[in-house]
Amino acid sequence: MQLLTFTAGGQTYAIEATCVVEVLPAVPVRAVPRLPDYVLGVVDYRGRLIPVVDLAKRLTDDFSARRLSTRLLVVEFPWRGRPDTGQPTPKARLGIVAENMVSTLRSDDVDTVFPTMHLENSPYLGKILRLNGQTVHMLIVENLLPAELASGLFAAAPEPPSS
Amino acid sequence: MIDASSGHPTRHPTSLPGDPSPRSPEALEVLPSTVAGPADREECWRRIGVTGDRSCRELETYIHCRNCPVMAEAARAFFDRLAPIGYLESWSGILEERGARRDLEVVSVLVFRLADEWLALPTTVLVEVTKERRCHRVPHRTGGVLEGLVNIRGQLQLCVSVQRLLGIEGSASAPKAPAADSIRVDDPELRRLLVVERPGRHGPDRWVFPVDQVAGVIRVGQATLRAVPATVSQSGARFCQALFDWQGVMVGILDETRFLDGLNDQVRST
Repeated sequence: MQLLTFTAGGQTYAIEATCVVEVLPAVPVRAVPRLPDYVLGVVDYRGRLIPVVDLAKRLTDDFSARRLSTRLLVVEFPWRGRPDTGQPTPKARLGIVAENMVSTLRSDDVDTVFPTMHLENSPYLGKILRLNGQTVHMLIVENLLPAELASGLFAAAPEPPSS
Repeated sequence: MIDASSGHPTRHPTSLPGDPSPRSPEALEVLPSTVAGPADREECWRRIGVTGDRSCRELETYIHCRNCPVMAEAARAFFDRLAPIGYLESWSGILEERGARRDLEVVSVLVFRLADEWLALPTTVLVEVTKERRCHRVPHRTGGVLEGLVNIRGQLQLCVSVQRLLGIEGSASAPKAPAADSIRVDDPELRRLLVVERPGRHGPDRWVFPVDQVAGVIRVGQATLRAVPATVSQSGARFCQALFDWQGVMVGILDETRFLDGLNDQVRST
């Protein structure tokens, strides 16, 4: 298993590389009013608009610093569809802006695993890994957005163009 | 590369005071230390590393500077700066543009010439393009499609004549229409051997064949491919899956399955 690492508030976080669609420079985001401050807005991603979350703002008090190493990560968002219809939206995608997105780790040599803490205020935090002298906190992408907000953002998403 | 007065690498665009695209007022705050770039870093790979005199002792361990943690750290520091003016905006454009062309399928093929015919093979079956070398004839077996055996990296491989398989007439003389064929170069020095392979029942199915000229690998959009006319009289047409126009010549893309099946049939039957 390969992990993509990045930081927020000086701490290293990671997601599994298998759910990464693309890593891009942090392109300008079109702001959408009245959203939580960690939702920066939407971005035209290859013909569809995807919501973008600032990870640093979600996890800490500050926005991500604007550097070359701060990048826009596009991930598959496992959204289960609108609760009223139960229709899943295939391939919902989410943009995540995070700092120091410049390297990957192989998880073959994980030393220790600290299991997921079930914290009410931070449901997006998964297990903590200790590997190669680094402590890495896994992110649960689907919990980055509260369910209500997710259905609001993704319900409007059109079907992806058939290819 | 290093500006002596400031110690900053001069080849990289320097940081900008006013960022053109503030995402939010808070996001504009950048630590001063991150703007400067790797000022305090000595570029050891230029002095004692692979682009220097190679005297660095760490090279024994890492073999190349790109594997060394010092360079990794320098790369990390390089990214620790503001984006050049217009860089992020240009990426917005790229995202929108690539989005418009996203469903354009592209195949990657190697274009080569056999006598007067330009042909192409999908790069998925291609193993190697190598210099022409001596082909050892096999008594009582050569003469048809099989030419003999060649030594490829110490292993004997079956060498075949695709020209004979496709029924292309060998014309060592001048091309029929020299003006129309701008990329053709007749030079024995340009003759190459192509090595192709696909997984077979008993290990990989590998073939080697000589071609008169290799033009290179190109990417062809599915939309520009044309069907092979059903009326084509050449027997080789049944091995082609499509045709496309490239630099004024008509190139036929070989169907790798039919082509390799054809080789198998011809060689095993004789």
